[in-house]
Amino acid sequence: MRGVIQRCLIATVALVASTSVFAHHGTNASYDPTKAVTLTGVVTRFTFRNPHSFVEFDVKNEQGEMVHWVGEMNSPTVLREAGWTATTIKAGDELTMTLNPSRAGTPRGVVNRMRPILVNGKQVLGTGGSNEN
Amino acid sequence: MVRAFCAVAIATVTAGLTAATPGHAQAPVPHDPRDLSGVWTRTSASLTLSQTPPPFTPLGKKLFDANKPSYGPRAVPPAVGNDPMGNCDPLGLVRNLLLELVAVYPMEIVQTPNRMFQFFEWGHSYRQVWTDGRPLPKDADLTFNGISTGRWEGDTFVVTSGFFDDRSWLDHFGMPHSSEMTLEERYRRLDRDTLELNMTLTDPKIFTAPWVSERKVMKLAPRSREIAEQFCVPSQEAEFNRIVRDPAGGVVR
Repeated sequence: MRGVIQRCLIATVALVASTSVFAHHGTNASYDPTKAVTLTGVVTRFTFRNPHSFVEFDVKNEQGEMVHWVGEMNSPTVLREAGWTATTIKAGDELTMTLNPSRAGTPRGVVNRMRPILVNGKQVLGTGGSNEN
Repeated sequence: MVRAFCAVAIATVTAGLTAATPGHAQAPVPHDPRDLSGVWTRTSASLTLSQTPPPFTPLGKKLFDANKPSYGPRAVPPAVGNDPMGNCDPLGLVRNLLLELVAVYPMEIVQTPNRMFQFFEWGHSYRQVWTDGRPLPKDADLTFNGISTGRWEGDTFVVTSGFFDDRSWLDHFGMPHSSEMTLEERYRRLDRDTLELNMTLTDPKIFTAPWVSERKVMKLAPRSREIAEQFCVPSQEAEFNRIVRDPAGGVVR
């Protein structure tokens, strides 16, 4: 019975989730939602425009090499509803965020806004929202 | 008992989501059923006509197989797909009605004495429905949003369209259509805040029978929600593809 209730809860949660994942650019076909990587680096550019916003930042890997990562985010329309603006992240900021990485293994990921996003050590806005749109 | 609990839980969530829809009224408000004006957001989660499309013709199956979408069971990364949207190509009328008519990117209806306009926010696209009594032409150039005429049957606004450019997809699952497709849309304003849409798509080159849609329900957006400029800008899209989408899909061009 516990299993049935668990499945029921999953179905209910999935129903709620399904209302927020309407997408028009197929984002999640490129990324692996079962993996997460939390990165800290210095922002080189934040592009806040259609079709999807994205942030570019340089991250030092375990070998001490600089890797240029790009985090894909939602469209400006969706981000604005969550309080984001074109200047929430700026070039030169130290940025910490969690990405679901590319299935292809390239330094690309979709930003998981359910996890805290730190700009210069301070959390920006709240957590929440889907990756899509 | 557990099943009953489960059903109640899901029904409660569903009801809550409906009640939470912007513009949803608690009590009926007087309205003119022949005035469809307003900014409308869809509440249906299904981004295709229905879950039960008619069988394909051999040509329809061939075209469907050639389309590589990034949604549904056939999803591939956009970098290796061929969704026209990925190049900012026009979505076409049916996909405008199905895909982008959601809370994020709504649709506005404006009525004038001889025409009804629909403005689709995503892509900054519009279509016009002629209501001056003219019939559909016998022949015309093909266009992405087609040519449309409308008439009232009681309080149902019936739109008939044809002459669609066949480069667009019907939905983001890669459903094809031909230039011989015709579409009937039936709109009814059930109350001030609710607009119903039923569609029948006929395309004998692609489907072996007409495709009747599920009932689509739209809700009136709050007055503060105005249609914004949401162009799909080809140069921006190309930059996004180069920096984000293609590398994410493991593609180097």
